[in-house]
Amino acid sequence: MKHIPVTALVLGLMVATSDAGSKFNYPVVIGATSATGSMADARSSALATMNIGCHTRYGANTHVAACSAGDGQGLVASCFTTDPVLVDQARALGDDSRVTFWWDATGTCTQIQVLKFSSAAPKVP
Amino acid sequence: MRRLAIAAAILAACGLGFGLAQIVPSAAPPVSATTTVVERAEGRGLDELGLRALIRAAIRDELGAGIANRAADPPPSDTPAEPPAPSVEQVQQRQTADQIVASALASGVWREADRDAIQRLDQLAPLDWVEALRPLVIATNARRVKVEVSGPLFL
Repeated sequence: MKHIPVTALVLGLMVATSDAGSKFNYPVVIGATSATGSMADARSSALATMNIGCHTRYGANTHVAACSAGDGQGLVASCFTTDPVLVDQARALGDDSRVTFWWDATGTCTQIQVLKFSSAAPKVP
Repeated sequence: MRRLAIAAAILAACGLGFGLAQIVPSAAPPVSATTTVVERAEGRGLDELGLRALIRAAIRDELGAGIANRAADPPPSDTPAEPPAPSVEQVQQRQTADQIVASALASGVWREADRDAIQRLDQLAPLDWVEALRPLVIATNARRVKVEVSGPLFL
């Protein structure tokens, strides 16, 4: 009987240890000229239409990237770019990445930021 | 001693020839210039004046070759290569995409059927795809169009 509290303490420590490390959620948030969010958090959101990501497309001498986001509550934002540097940024997006993109009045992406960090949640089915 | 001097001269000439070949564009491979210098080195006694003369000759040869090549080069063009002309199908698909977007903007709603119709236009060139969808993107970013699409706006 004496051993029960010790066992419970050890188990509790193991659980705490396995759950340690910074963890942040990055749901999709859309502002006036930018949108941000992680692909994993968008996918696991309770809001059915939350989504975010980028798409790249190649043709003869042409590279195009398009980023798009929906916050699940009716707001949608997107932008295009043919800037090779930004197209490469879009390609750098991974399953667990958080992406933030900014656009101008013509719908052109002005910046694409990709965060690959341990605190971002992995994408689950 | 003389052999050593000849070897040093050959090495110097090789280095010079290689260096100039990197700087001055030349149609002839760098080996030919080096060969010229080596032949001359073997035919003369080498002292400081001789070595200087060899270097001068090598520089003259390389610069001459560079100038000749530049004269033969076509003049640089400021205009980029023109993209290939679009096919009839591409032109038709661009018109269809423009109509789909224009119709959605007029109705104020972007539906899944619109997105699916755009996706079916598989011959659209990337830049046509961008320019056809740009008015929709501008309108949705400005929140002038209601989006009734689950998932990406146009993918």
